[in-house]
Amino acid sequence: MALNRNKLSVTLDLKSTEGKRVFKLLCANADVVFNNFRAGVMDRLDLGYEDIRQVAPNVVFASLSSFGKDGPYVERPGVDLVVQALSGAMSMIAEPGRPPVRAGIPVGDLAGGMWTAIAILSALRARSVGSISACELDMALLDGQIALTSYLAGQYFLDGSVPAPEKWGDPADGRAFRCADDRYIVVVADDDELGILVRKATSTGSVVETALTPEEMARTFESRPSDYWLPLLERVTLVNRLDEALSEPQVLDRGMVIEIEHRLGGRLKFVGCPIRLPGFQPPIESPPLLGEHTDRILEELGIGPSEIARLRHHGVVS
Amino acid sequence: VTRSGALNGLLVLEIATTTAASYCSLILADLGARVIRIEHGAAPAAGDSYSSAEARYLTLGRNKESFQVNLRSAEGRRTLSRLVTASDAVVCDLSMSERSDIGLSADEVSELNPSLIFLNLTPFGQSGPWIDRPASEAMLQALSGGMSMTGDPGGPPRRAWLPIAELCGGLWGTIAILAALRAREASISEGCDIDLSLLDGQVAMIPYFSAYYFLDGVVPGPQGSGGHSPTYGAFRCSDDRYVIIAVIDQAPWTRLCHALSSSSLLADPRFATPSDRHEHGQELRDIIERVFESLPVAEWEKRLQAADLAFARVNRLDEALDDPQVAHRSMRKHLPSGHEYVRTPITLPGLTGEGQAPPEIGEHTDALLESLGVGKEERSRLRAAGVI
Repeated sequence: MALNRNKLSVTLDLKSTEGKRVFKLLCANADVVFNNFRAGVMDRLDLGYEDIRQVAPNVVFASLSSFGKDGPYVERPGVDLVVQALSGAMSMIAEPGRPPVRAGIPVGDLAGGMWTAIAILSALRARSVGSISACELDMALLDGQIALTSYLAGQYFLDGSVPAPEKWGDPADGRAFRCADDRYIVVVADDDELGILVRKATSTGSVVETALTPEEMARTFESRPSDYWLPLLERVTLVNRLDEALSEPQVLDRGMVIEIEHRLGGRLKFVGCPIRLPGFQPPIESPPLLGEHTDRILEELGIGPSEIARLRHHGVVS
Repeated sequence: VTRSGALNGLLVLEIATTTAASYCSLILADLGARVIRIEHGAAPAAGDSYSSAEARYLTLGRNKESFQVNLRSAEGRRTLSRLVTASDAVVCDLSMSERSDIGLSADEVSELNPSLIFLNLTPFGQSGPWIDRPASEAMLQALSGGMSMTGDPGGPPRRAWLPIAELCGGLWGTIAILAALRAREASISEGCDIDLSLLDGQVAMIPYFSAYYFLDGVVPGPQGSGGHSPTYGAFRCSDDRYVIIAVIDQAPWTRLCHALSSSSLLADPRFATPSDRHEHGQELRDIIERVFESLPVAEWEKRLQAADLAFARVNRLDEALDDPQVAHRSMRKHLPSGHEYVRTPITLPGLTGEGQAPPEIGEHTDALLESLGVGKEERSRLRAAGVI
């Protein structure tokens, strides 16, 4: 549901000769052919880049797999968690002495999708200015996650420093302070600045311009509930639960929560795409039912009703 | 600088200091666009985290040129506007009022260059109640709900240590610019002023948990090392290293039991199906934890690989960067200067250029002015007047 809005759906048996034929008909009209099979699967189906190029000489053929189409892990299965673990990202979130934890946002998967969108758009641009005619994109989730280690990798390359949870403890940029109501807050400020802010906010007598230590701050925050702190300090943010995040005025005002009338009735809510180009009214279409558009699309390919019935009868489409 | 690449021929200005915006234009530069960083702040002082020798600058500065100009002077602003006129895109992290201050309000920009793609990449965007709120990476992760889903179950929330709100904001920004460019090249739009918010970008990265929440009101807590199943997460090995496994369905579960040499697990009715295993999650975890603690991580890697399971050692960053797959994919690159970096993970066959060193701050000021027709004498005058 969440990942298929604004798409059409066709069901097709890619192992059957007829299914391959229909798939190639589809490809012949496509700008982009995208798959997320493990390396080699499309080739074994005789539907790899070289096969598709025969029918679509200008295709941008993009594959997104966990590890890409070569390398020692090419046969290994992978998911978001595997990629977060291998990339080093997970090792940075562990609490000292506790098992590592993953980013709750499946950033390995989602960033992989975003990198692929960038690759496809770049290839289309190169095609439109004539610097390539067709192209195969071999995208890997692990590559994408490694790329995101960006300047942490840069630091490591400079001086060998490895981010480790033991080095944590900078309240300005990571530690969440617990409040008396067992909610957590984070603060935008460096240590000294924060110490002074907190001291000012809680001081009854003369303001002392010395910072609280991190330990004193932790005790201070813990002495009162989060709703005491939130209005007091502009730089304090509640660590939102998801339901709170999705009802934040800023999030709603920006139109990030969208409502879609589902094919089967009922209104569904989703989070939307953060990119809005002025002058364009982006579509907000229901996620399709499986195979909902099979007939329509076959017709667009010039396949008539009796032929469609035959294909369905043979289980090539459903 | 000679360039090849998918975005060859595009000129992009970066008027920004944030990671998100610099990362966005880095991706464009890696893909072949010519990117000019506009340095307009005060010169960095010794010990500032922002200097041309610091890791973040080095990492985010490769393949870019640097142009230093004083935008408090009218002449400096005029020079910038000439660059804007010649550009295809601008990546900017300033507020609307800061943009006006440097002569680049939306109206001024569309007058200077109607086909310009101007990307505003700011923490909260250019609308809504929080436009002017100060922000940080931790704050964006906290507000989006992502932080509440990260950490030990029952424990305090943790942020993802990678700055994913900023970095993924850079990815969204790149996608926005490329989409706008495509619309422009297909002549379905002219230039545009894009308002992109890092918080929006982060919320958009919670697609299915938010769908579950909207459907049935379930609010996810910290996901620990996995979250989907008792056999989806990290396990400690005898050498105090961790390995993750990602096993949910029946076929890999059977293979896991064999890899753990545990026929009793396979026969145990408490763990017969995915929902049984979920129901008896703690009991199952306790058993499997003991098994994993009996052997070192390298041995488990062998066994899990032989069983064709989704697994991984929880690498430290140094190990990750030395990982054979990472090496094989040439994710580590060297600049001619000798600096090492991780590359943008996009290879367009036949269109990949070599990395160029990050510039010294203002390194290209003279060459760029020269190309704008500003002669040597005039440049000396501008420099003496503190404009550049």
